[in-house]
Amino acid sequence: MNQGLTKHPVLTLGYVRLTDAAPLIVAQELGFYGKYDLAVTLVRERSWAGLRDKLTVGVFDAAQMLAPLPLFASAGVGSPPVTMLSGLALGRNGNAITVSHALANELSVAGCPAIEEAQLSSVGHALGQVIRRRCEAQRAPLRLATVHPIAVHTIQWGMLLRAAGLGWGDVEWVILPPEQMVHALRDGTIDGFNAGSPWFAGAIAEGSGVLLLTGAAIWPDAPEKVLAVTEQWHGQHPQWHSQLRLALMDALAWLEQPGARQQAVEMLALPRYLDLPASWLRPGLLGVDMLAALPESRRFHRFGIHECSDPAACDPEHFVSGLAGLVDIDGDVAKKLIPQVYRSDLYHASLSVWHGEAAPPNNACSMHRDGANDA
Amino acid sequence: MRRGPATDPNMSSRDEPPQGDVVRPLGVLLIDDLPERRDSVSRVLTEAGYQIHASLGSASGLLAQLARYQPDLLIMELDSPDRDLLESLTLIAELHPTPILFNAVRADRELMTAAVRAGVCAYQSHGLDTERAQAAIALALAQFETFQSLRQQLKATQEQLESRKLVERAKGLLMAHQNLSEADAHALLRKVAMDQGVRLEQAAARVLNKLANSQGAKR
Repeated sequence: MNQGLTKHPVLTLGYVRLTDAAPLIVAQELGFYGKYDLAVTLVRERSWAGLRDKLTVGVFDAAQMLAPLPLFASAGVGSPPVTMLSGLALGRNGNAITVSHALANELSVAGCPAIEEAQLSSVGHALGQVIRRRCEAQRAPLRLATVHPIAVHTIQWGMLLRAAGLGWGDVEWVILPPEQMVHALRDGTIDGFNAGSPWFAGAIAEGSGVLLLTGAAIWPDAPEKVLAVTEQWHGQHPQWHSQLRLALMDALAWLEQPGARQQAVEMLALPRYLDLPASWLRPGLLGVDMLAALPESRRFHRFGIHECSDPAACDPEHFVSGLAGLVDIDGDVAKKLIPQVYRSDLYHASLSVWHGEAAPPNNACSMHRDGANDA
Repeated sequence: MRRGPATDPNMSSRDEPPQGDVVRPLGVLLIDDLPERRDSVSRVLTEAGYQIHASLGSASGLLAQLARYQPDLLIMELDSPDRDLLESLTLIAELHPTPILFNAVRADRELMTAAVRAGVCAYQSHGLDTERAQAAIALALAQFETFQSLRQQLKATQEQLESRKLVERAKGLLMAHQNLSEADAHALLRKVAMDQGVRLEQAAARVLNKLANSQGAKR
């Protein structure tokens, strides 16, 4: 609407209803886009496939995206081949596996430790027992949910199943957008889900689920979301893309400052963004409440602008190997695409500009210190 | 541990397509939560000789619906939260006891762009003649586009109405507070807008804010 009146380009950014949309949202609330001469419209999208399609055809200029998705989209797996790229990662960790009370009881009988002591090996062992017993008793296979086949969530489920000595085919897979998980767990459509924050907190608050294991306990510091654009858009608007990365770097650095997360909770809860109770957003963003007793609580969401935000440092090879047997991508194609998709050069170019010109005083990225998010 | 293929009684009871010269009408499953749009798509497709297996307001229980109707073509609103589930069928089909579908518009970039912009997606079964599917998609797409433009017109009209109300309220307050004539109040608003480089309704909103604050301060 105000395109005619401002000299700033107006960009439309897509995001999903998750606490790790925080960088995109706080940048809007704190005026970081404007600081880099951009105006941004944020659009909340219900499904990852819809988000990717809108980015593909140019309805969105850029989007928060599941870290593995740009690689598979570029290879034409699951979508028309359209080369996508990322010059900035938007954080690490942030997922949690939540199961129904019924499954939690079965697991507990099989020796599964409580969440405070939960580890990949011990939880995997118990899950293996439960699945084998169900199979022997000719009961229905477990129905496990992930947010998209091509997601770190799926890879984490796969790692847990391998720790159980099992494979993809030993359970039934259900794909649901994050915001549908709580309902599906409550009505018994699924036995467990792996989704980003705040949906584990929502399921626990509603009394329909129990926290089993965090994503960080399965794959520590797993890459989670990236800022994705199409190669075509990047080619047409390299300057806008650069301004956008700088604005989001401001946001990523801000999110690691003392007291910032508390403010982020208030911003994200607003009706125009996630429109959810602040009590659901606190655990993931602050590492408190049901996460407080976990060793990884302070790392549940890692933002910041250092190694966390280099898209190439997010182990893209593991996206390919981690999904093998479920969603396959040609190894040679992937190898060729990885450096084209996860653009370390763009990230480093932005980082020098950011340190040189844009760095607000006293913003030392606190990624190397634990507990920096001042919960 | 891998389970054998799931047995669904509905799947085996499905009528076989008639052989010979009779071409079986293409079966369509339609999912859209806007009833008017759903009805109009359904009507247009029926008139064109397609068979609507079911026209549903939500994709809840989508897997069961697919197993039950075995559609040749699934047409669904793009913003459906069940999009990811549907996409998973195209990616990991062997894990689901449902017909194998694939995204019917992905091969054609132009068609895909039009579909995404109009808010519709389509999945077709393997082995289905692409041309027959595309003809049905084109009909559905036209209906979605019509609704899209109607919706945009409505939104624009509402926004216009809101702007007008805002300007009228600001003028009214200026007239009362500053003892201005309507023409002078309008001129003042225009000047504020010009000076601040904003639209008239934005200037009106700012004036309203300012007057509200000064009133609050007085109290």
